[in-house]
Amino acid sequence: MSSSGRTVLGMNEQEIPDEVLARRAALQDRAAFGVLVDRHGPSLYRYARRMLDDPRDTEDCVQEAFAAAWTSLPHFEGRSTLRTWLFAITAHKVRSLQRRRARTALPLPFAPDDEVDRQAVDPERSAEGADLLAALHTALRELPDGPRSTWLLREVEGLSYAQIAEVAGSTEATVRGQLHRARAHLVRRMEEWR
Amino acid sequence: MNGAQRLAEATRTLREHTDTGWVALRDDVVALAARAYRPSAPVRGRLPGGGELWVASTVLVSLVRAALDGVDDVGTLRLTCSTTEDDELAGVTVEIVALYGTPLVALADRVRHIAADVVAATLGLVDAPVDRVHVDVSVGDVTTDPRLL
Repeated sequence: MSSSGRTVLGMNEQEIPDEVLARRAALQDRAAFGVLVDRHGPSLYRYARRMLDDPRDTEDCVQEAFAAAWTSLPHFEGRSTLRTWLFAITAHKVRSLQRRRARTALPLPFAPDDEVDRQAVDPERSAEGADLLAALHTALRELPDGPRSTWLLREVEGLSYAQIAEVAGSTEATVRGQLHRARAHLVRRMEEWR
Repeated sequence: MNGAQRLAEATRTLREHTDTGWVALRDDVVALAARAYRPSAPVRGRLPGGGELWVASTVLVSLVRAALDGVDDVGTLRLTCSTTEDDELAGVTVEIVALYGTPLVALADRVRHIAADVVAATLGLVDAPVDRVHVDVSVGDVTTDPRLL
């Protein structure tokens, strides 16, 4: 953080656009980078957690993604949004970890429900909400990596088709197809729930 | 609820959900990332007793940027250092964005002196900082929005 004058922490952090924070972080402003981590970290972790089958892999993935982002920020030219750029880095790390794991070990059980904070859910809806979330996690795990990633990026993280194609290194047509398949599967599995 | 409605409800819950794993990891992420290596050229400086020191250009950039953060109505867009073949500082280029209506010539001169002073102090060039450190200031943009500085 800056030693004097205008600082990131001296402003309403939520009002500062991503591109300004990215520019400052590129110039070694760690406070600006911290704001970006707080703003995008929960989403990147949520995505990685549901793409990988293990909390340790998720931690490695997100840590490596942000370290790569810090190193590369001086070269970030803003051709995509910072959020898309961060998801592209994270998705790349996810694929690397999946390949590494495929060569070395069997998949571990997928249990992100362990991380559901039941206290944070509306008490009247907590039980059903947690159960629904558990059902969704089970159904998501049945999807291949591509459709699962596409569905998470579109429906949970709100990326556009073009942004998802950029993250995945594919085309919008592929994204549309994967999303259609993923939705059909998830609706069917949720229909069968209970 | 049918399947589509259940999926919509579960999706909404997931969208609003923050994994506890992230909460535990956040500080480590920031600490680890900030330690990650950024390529940086060494810049030769002078010690008061006559010796030499080398300062990473990223450190120089960080110090100049921090000093310029104290200037009202200006933001630093880009900041680069160039060096000679023997690692002497050849120049510093500062590209800024200024708040609309700010007198640009005076602002650029102030930025140039601040940057030169920081560089000179860091590298031990205390005798004639502005003469020995060439600083270019480029006003890359003006804005009416202080959040963009």
